Amino acid sequence: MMSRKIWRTVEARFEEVLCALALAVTASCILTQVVMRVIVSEAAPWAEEAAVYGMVLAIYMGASLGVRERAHLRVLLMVNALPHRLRVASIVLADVIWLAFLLVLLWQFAIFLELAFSRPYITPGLGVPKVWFQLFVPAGLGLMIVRMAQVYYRWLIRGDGELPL
Amino acid sequence: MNGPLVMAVLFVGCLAIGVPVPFAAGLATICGLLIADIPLTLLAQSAFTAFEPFPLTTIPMFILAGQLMEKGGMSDRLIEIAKRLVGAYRGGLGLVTVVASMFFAALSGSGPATTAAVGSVTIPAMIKEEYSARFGGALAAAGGAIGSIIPPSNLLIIYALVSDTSIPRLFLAGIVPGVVVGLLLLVAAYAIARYKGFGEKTEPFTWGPLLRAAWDGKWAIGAPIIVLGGIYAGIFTPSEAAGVAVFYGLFVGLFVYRGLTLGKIMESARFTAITIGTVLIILGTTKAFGQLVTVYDIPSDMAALFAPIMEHAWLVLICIAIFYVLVGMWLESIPQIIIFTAVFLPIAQQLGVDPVLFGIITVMTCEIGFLTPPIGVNLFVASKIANVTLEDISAAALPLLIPYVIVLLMMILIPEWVTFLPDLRYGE
Amino acid sequence: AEPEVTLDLGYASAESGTYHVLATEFEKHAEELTNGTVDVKLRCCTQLSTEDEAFRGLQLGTLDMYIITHSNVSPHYEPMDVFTLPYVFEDREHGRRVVDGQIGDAFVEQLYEDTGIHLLAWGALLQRDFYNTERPINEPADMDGLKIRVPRNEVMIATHEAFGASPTPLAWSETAAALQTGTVQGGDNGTTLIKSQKFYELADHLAILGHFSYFNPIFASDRALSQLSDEQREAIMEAGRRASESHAEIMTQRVEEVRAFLGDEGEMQVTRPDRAPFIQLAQEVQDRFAAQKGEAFQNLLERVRDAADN
Ligand code: NA
Ligand code: NA
Repeated sequence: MMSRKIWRTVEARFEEVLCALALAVTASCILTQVVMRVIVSEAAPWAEEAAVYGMVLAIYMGASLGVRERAHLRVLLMVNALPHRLRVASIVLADVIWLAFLLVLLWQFAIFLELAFSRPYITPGLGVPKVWFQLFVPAGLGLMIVRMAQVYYRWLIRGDGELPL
Repeated sequence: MNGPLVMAVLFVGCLAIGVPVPFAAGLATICGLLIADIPLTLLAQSAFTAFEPFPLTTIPMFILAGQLMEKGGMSDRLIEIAKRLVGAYRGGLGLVTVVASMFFAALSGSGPATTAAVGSVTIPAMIKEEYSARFGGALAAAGGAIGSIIPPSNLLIIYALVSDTSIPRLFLAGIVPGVVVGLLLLVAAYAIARYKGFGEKTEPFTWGPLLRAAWDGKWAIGAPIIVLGGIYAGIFTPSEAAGVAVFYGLFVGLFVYRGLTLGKIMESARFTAITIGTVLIILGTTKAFGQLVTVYDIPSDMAALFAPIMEHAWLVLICIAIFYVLVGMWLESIPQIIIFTAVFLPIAQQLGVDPVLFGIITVMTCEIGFLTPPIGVNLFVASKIANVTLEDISAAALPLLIPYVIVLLMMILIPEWVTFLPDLRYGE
Repeated sequence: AEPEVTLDLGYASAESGTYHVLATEFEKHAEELTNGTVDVKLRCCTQLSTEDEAFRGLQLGTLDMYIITHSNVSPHYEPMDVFTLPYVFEDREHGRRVVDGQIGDAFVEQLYEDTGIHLLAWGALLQRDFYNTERPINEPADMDGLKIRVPRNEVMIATHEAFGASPTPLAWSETAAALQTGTVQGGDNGTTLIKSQKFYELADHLAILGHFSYFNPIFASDRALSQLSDEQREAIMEAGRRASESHAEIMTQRVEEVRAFLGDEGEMQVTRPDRAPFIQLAQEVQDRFAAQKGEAFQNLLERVRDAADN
């Protein structure tokens, strides 16, 4: 029972907590940069990089959260004009196309990673291979696919009412 | 195969059946890359590098700061000041909405966020005073749109990045047009309120309550002063200003106005994450777009299209503005700026138009797009708060578009007054 | 003849900059030497890609050719940073001897082996000139405490620290505004860029320090070159060499013209400080980085230093 509760919290809050931490990293690094320059008059070249990578993580986790909440922006004017069954069909088709796009992107990212791991780029500020941060992208894409599967599982198998638009 | 045509058809087709905008644009990009024989790995590379420019961090930071300031109690103080300032006149609450929007615009980088922050307080108040709900909603939507032109502005940052224009110049250039739109909106709101008989006259204006409200709201008024003052005094760059604003919002929300709790901070982070995850993500899927526009030589095709009227810069700009407004009816503003700046800015530059001016014109057309059906983001936000249909609120918003159109035309016909401030500060 | 292959050559700067001169020369020679069978299209102003992303794009084959300042290559290929070291070349001749001779040839070969990228033309060897809003620079003491904009490059940061200044890494796009607001008080850039960006309106003092040298090589992707016949490839390589030579000639003259302009019409106070004390401070930076870096870096530095004595 306990583990089930933990699992449920993780399911509900995973991306949210990561996003909050990532945004906190971004904000703190920016402030550090300002303080270091103004008060100590020293450069913090790593801070700018860390701020950006925090944002990238927040964006991809936010995208996944957006799938869970069905918050991605669609133009529903034409779809809403359709009769109910066609409307559902149209959205399912749109989601399949979207999924296909995510899979193509993930596949291309695999090719990209092969190069990025074999010929690393060392970030000038933090001095570590950039590819570690680039992994945020496939992680986000993978989570988006998982969340999409979850939405459909709930709708088709558990029968939780309408397909939420 | 005609690459751009195939891309356009695929994009519109995918949009029509309900593929989310960023991914419809991404599919069109894939198609364009295949036709131009460029490896698709570009898409993978772009999915990361699109977010690498440091100034981009400004957008989530300003969204987060706006949320913290609103939830922490700053927007209440700003509305209180606006009430004491203009609340005594006919249609007072309408005027309050516009003035509070102008204040909040100086804290917030986004039009819809400004609409939500101000409208959620003033729309119910207007309805209580028997303004029509559709007018109240429309006014909050129209006032909120100023949030994208008065600095800070997410849209101006996006434009700066895709056009390689200076952010501080754009920010300075946005102030005067934003304030002028606000003043014209005040006139419009007053006229409509008089005509329809909304809002009783209350006790006349006195200085005492205004000064008390201003004193109580000093930490809220302080935010734009610190943010903009810090930028122009050289303490931090515009990109860093947003990070500073986050900590200011946290500090005031936690220790001065004490509206913030851990729950509200998490809510703010969650809102920010969903916004950037669903809106900003399009940068990643359309990054390759600029390269495609170049490889397909689209700017020179466009220049050929405009050739017959090229000697009249204003006419070309009006054509572009009309096109932008039409596109803005259908498309979110960030994708609009990303996709079309690459196409039209080269033409504007051929005509000798200042890229800063072109940016302000671009963002002004986007604001009109916020207020037009079918995809008017501000109208969505306000219609939910006012609990009226999109059709109703769209009709009520129509007369409130006039200030935006007037300022747009004024900028195209007499550009000097827009670039005056940045030229004064930074030289021509 | 009708073009059989089109190659896009991208670069970051506007149509007036030094990249553009190199690109134009290359286009001219390449089309001439291939009898017009290869069409080179110039794509200025980051239309194709930003300089930061270009190297990866070339590796992936998403770009044909791109001009990248050498210091933007070093995060991908460490030995390139040898050329970033302060005062690594005694003078322009030393620099040319290195890249046009055996050391350069071996470097290009090794670069291809390690990264899969072809270096077609080194271009001119240029120097960053130092400008600031505060005072004329005549000796290291004048650098004391100046807030200097630098790119995010450890060597450049360390060098300015060694000179006594306080360097601030800042994106190029923010530099002009930061100079105006006083967030930074100076920086260094290629001479022509100081003119084209009108920095002479913002900063009153220019010092010809000669502390950093740089190249803007043209790089090409394997994918682009594999579309060419052997003859075309040979011609493109030759075009690279010729473009490099004429670029060096044109730029040598232009840099002196621009420096004169900055002093006269630009109303900057131009100083040419004695380099010896600066070189002494820089030596420590050279040694420190050489010790930190890998063997390839150290070997290259050795060979570059040896070439100075010729
Ligand atoms: Na704003
Ligand atoms: Na719209």
